[in-house]
Amino acid sequence: MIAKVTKCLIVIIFVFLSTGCWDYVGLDDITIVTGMAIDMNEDMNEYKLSFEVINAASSSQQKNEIKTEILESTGSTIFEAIRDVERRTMNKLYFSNTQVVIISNQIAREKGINEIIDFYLRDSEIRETLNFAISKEKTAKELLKKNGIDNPINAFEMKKIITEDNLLVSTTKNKQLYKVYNNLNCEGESLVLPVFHNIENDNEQVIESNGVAVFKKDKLIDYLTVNESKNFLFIDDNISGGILTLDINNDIIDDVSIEITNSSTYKNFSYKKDKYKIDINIEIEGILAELMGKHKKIDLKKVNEVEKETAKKVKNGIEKLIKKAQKEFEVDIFGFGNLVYKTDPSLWKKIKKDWDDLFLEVEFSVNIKINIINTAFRK
Amino acid sequence: MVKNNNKNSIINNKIESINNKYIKKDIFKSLEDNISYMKELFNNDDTFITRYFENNNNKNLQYCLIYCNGMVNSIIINENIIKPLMVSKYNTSNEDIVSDLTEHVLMIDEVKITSKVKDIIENVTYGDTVLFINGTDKAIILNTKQFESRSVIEPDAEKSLIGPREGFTESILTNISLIRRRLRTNELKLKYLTIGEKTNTKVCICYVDSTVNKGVLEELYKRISKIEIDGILDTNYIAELTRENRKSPFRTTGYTEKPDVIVSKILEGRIAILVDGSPMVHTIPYLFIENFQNSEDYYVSYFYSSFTRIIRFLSFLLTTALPAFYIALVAYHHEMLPSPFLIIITSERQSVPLPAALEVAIMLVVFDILRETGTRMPQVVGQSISVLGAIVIGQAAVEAGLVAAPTIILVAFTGITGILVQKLNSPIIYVRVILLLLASMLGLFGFVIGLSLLIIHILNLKSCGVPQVNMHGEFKYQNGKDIIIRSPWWYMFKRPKVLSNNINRMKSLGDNSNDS
Repeated sequence: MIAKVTKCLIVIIFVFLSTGCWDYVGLDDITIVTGMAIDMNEDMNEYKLSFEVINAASSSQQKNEIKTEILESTGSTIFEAIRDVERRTMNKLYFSNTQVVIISNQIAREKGINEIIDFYLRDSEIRETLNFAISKEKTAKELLKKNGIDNPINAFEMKKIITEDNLLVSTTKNKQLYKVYNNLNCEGESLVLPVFHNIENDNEQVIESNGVAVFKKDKLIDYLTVNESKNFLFIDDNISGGILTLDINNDIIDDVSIEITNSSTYKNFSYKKDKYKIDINIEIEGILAELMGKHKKIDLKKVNEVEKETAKKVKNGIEKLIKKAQKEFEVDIFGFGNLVYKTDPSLWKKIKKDWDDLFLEVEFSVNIKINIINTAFRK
Repeated sequence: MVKNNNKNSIINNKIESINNKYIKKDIFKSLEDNISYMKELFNNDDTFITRYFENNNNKNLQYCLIYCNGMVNSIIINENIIKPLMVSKYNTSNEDIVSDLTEHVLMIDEVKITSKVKDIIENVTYGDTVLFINGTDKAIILNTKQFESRSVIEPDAEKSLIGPREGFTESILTNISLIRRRLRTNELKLKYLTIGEKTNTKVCICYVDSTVNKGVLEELYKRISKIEIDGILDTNYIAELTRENRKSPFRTTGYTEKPDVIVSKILEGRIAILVDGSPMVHTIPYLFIENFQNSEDYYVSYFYSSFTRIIRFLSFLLTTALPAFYIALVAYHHEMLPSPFLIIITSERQSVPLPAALEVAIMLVVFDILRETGTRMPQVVGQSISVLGAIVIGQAAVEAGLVAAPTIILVAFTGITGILVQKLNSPIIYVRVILLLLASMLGLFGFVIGLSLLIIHILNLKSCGVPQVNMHGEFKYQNGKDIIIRSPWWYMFKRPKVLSNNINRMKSLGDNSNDS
């Protein structure tokens, strides 16, 4: 009997000891951080952090209205800066609901983002699905300060812009914390992050997503424009919406917009006679959403022409982008190395070390097939 | 068959011993002795009437009637007992006077010959008349009952929109007639027991012979024979005195006021216990699932009743677990709340003085106070309670910033879902509080521990030796046909396995489809 009780007690004690850490924290004892901006001072030796936090007290007094405010702090490390805030506020900063971290381009360019990612991977109590963004403005704080157009919480707005981008416009790439970490640590694919900048809208500065930032290792080297980003997403097979436009005016057709309903990319790697070749086949399904100019009547010939011209345009864009990546950036942002690894692991083992150079000479062919499934026209 | 007979004789012995428990004394031969003894027993009772008379043709035949005023039908006594006895010319000898009188003179439907004082007391107090004859040590009990009882109306606690509406009354005979009318077979067995040293309450054990589980029946008699109590006023006395899992708040008997429910239960092999003076009829064995079943389930479309059944399950889960889950999230695991929720709840909680767990606990008690007041108060003051409860405690407390609005919503929801599963009302209160306590001390971890303990406890519940939840490690759809959903009648061709020896409800095994 006593042995039984002791066994039970031991089991119970172990259960209590093996649960990790949690503790009672009242909701009125926390300050919810929704977004974070990371800057550095001019000497590049001190972090300047800005937090977008929910002002719960004033939100509760004025019902149905959520207010945010910005907290600022400095420190030689990120964690020191976070603890620095506690000297100013009564409550503990709470990071589990942080939606987005904005990193200034200055840090990304000169110092690299490894330090920052390292902090988030440790005991900072954040979600692994945290989103990162690069600020094209001088400081990251400038982006955080604005109020969102739809949502009073800027970070929420920003997160939604990033995550729902590929459904409507397809101009930027969503990278969450764990994916950023994967990209930084695995070979054969370089990191890209979404970029934001401020733009004037109705006499007010508002945030806008603006393509992607290209990284070499953990350092920012260049940006892709919005159109280049779309072509990048085609190669990345990450498009489920957005439009394609054709700026043309000949005997048969005028300018058109095609709404993409579906797009699939098939990449093939082949290795022949010491030459690395990537075949990219893209199949796009779309709706003819807009037709400009005088040629209003649509027939099969016209549709074929539209398909042909659009495919040509997309193909040119993609080829140009790959060449740009090879000549200017000299980094494999498309994950071709990864593709090699997946199709031929033994080959990849041999060429892994030289891939950065080999990528520059990779041959590629692009095939686009556009299929317009209807004209979305009301009779 | 031998074994079965054996079992039957065991059961009969049990019944005998229950009924004979209080019998002590026999009556005398002399009329005077008997009457003076009876008067002594019933002294200080002015409703006790004795009536002497003798036969006009034979002065040696002296009689005395005793009865209790107000419970008897005077016309029957005058016309069918006194008149024939007075004018009778029937010649009888002293030896078989009792049988002669019952066979040739007394015009009464139900007579019983006894020599036990106990019998006489029981029957006189039940509205019967007892006839003493000079020179005989036997008395004749004559059925002259006539007393008022409530008429058969729809029970308030079990209102139904569809289906039979009759409800039991306080009279056991009426109740038995209601059952018998629905179950017109000789297989319906009704066995009287007398329990209670003072109240001598008539208890009826009712079952269908071919489907009842004899083992359970024997166990029930064994438990009832151990009862030693002065009075039985309601069936719950017996249910509590015979239950197992005495430390558990969960029910071990089913109860109802509706004869149609009782018939359906005893048809499945259960045993009904009727008590004179109470409209509540209990059934054993009780399965845990019966907490969620409702007679109306079987009277409406199986699509609809399956849905409502699921709603009831959900309500039980919500009403016990929701406060604890809320506290675990709000106090420990904020990261599990979606961001918009977190922000709203946080801003609501800013100005509230009490910690969330204490606040929920207090509001739950307040709700229970309101509910209990609602049940106990006279109907005239009903309105003031709803005004006070809803406006003062709900709205004003939130506006004053004493209680957070999410707490009020939570408690109201918990209360409403709790009312939906009435049969579990007592476990709900305890389970809810225990879960809340665990969750407020250990977070979700404590919540899960609490739920596990609850499940273990429910799996261990028994009713008269039958497990309330059956977990044999095998799952057969046939066993689950009336649990989460209510299967159509043509599919429920078997009775619950644990309840009955004879599990086939339909001969054709449900293969009587009318679809062409």
